[in-house]
Amino acid sequence: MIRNQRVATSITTAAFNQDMSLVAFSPNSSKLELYNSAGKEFEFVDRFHDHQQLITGIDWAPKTNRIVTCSEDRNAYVYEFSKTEKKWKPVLVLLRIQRGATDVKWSPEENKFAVSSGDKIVSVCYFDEDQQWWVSKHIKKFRSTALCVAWSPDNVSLVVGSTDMHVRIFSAHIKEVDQKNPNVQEFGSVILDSPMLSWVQSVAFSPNGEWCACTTHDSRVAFINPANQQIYDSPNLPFVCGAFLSETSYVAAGFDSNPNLFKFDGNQWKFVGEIDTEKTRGSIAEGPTKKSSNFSRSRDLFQQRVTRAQDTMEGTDLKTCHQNCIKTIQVQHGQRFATTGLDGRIVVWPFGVIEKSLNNEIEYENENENEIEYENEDEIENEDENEDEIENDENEIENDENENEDEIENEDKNEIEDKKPKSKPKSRSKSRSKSRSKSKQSKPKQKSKSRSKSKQKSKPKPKSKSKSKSKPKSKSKSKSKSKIENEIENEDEIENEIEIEYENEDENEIENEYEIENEIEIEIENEIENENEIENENENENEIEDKKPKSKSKSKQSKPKSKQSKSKSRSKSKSKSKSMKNQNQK
Amino acid sequence: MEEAEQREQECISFVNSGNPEAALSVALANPFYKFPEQEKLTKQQKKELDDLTKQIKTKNFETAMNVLMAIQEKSIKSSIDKLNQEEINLLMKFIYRGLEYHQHSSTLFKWHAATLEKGGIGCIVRAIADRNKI
Repeated sequence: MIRNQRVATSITTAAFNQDMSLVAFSPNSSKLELYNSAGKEFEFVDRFHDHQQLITGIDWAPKTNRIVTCSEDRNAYVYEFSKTEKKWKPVLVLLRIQRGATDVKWSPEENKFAVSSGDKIVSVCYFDEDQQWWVSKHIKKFRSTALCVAWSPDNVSLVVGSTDMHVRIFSAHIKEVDQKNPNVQEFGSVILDSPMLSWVQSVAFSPNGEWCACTTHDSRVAFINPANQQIYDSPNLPFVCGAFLSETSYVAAGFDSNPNLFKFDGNQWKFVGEIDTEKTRGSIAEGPTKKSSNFSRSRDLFQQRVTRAQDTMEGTDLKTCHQNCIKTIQVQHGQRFATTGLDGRIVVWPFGVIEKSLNNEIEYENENENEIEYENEDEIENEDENEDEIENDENEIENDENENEDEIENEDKNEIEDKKPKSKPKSRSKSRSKSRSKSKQSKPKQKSKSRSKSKQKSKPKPKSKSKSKSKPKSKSKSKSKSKIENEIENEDEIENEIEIEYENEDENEIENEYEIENEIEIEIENEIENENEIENENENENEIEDKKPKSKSKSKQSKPKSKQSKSKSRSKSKSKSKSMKNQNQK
Repeated sequence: MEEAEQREQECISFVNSGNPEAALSVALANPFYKFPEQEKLTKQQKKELDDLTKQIKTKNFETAMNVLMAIQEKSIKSSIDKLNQEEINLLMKFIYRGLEYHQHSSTLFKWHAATLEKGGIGCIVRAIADRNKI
């Protein structure tokens, strides 16, 4: 039911494409990574090195299939997929800002995008056909950093939250791109200015544009309407991201690693509950400490490390799927939403999960039916239709699972990981600590073999799952199977977390986070190298390596794995050496 | 300023009459944050306003502390149950301000634990991150 996989050490931002088959994210670095999410597991597809500093915002335009990324290097790139060359091509956008960018969003019609920045500026960019480049126009009405942006469905209004503790709605009407409308105000004028009591961490418009929800840093959620404003004080830690699942339901998530659901009952927005509960996860790994809240469990986690210098799994893992702050939420209309967090996990929640855990149905609009329905009878009809849709999706996923089983790549990768860590050089003390960490990692990675096998065992079970149209039967079936899946998922999580903790030990020693990412990069790149040596040449991999930037090349001859200092240039030189190798082999 | 003094007297009367629980909601009502912004104030006028704000705030704080000390330990929980969300936020802010001085920390910690149960961690976050300081 819930897909939960750790894809990187940490994910700052992420964006999915329209049908959630691909995900682009930034693993807390300047690299943009592209993964395939259509199958049972997330698979690496590509990596882009265009930005120079941390990528802070990513957005994927669903219809035109373009990705825009913004970064602390004050630039934005728009990636378009060229079908002729079968690769993503970046185009630089000059935002003309003097500080890093914080967030970026495509407009609903995808002819504009807005970038908020620390320069007290929001830059709205549109494509100029004459000059064939992206032009930016500035909104400058802030007193400090603009943190987050969101477009209203009318493609003109833009809501911005900033650290000057205000939520403002602007008109972002651009003459060159938008239709003329006498009612619309000029570009940059303020439509609504609402003071809040703390930094505004996220903003979102409802699908009809009626409500604007913003989460602030003092653990509050404010729902703003032209007529009134409703504020909810949350008893949890602050929310950092939020999205509307439908016109009447909203999900917010943040430092508590748990998505919270809000519903509109016609008059007022009310807090319904936390989505990540025992019901959604099945059995939890119980341990010596039986604390109830995530907060106390995460405190215990650190306490155990400090006092006992132990990294036991019992009772110290967080009760939720996510083990760290949730940073992004993205909704696929009518079906599911996905969250990514600083723990490096991507979790996909189908709407059915919410209905099961909170006994609450999401009233979302189908493409066939446009009316918003509040009555229960209509909800049941909706659900049956959507169950059919979900069944089709599940069949597709099961077909993908078949394909994945046939691929040998995953198993090969696991085997190769065991061979690798001992061959690393030890030039610096830092690298020594890393090599230690890798030798430690080699042990839990041996478990990954069994993990892949256990996953294979788990696969035949979900295949036999089929949702019947009558409700009570389907729920009982899905519950028993979800329990099995969840148990297996828990085992996987445990093994994942062993890896996490070995890495985290050395994070304290290592100052620069980039070096850790280099480790993983180098491992992945080494996997690809070794696979070539083992003559499992797949065409995809060769294409990926050809895609890697040749423009920055000082072409070097293929180098052996010599003793070198670990740096970004090293990983790049390896990629170039690979490309040279491939050309030689061809 | 007059409001603050009025409130103080009300609370004292409640406490003396042996009903400090009722004083709690009085002490937490209408907290004073700042004077409405006025333009064209000279430096001296601004300074006077600042001083007055400080005085009012300390007065409110002292009133609240007296009430908190007067309420018995066993009735802490019941008196917190009567408060609504805003008042709980305010109470937490007063508790944190009181903890800045080392006088009544033992009782204040008991209050803190009870308010935390009702308000959650978000209550503490608001006490720290809220723009309006009591």
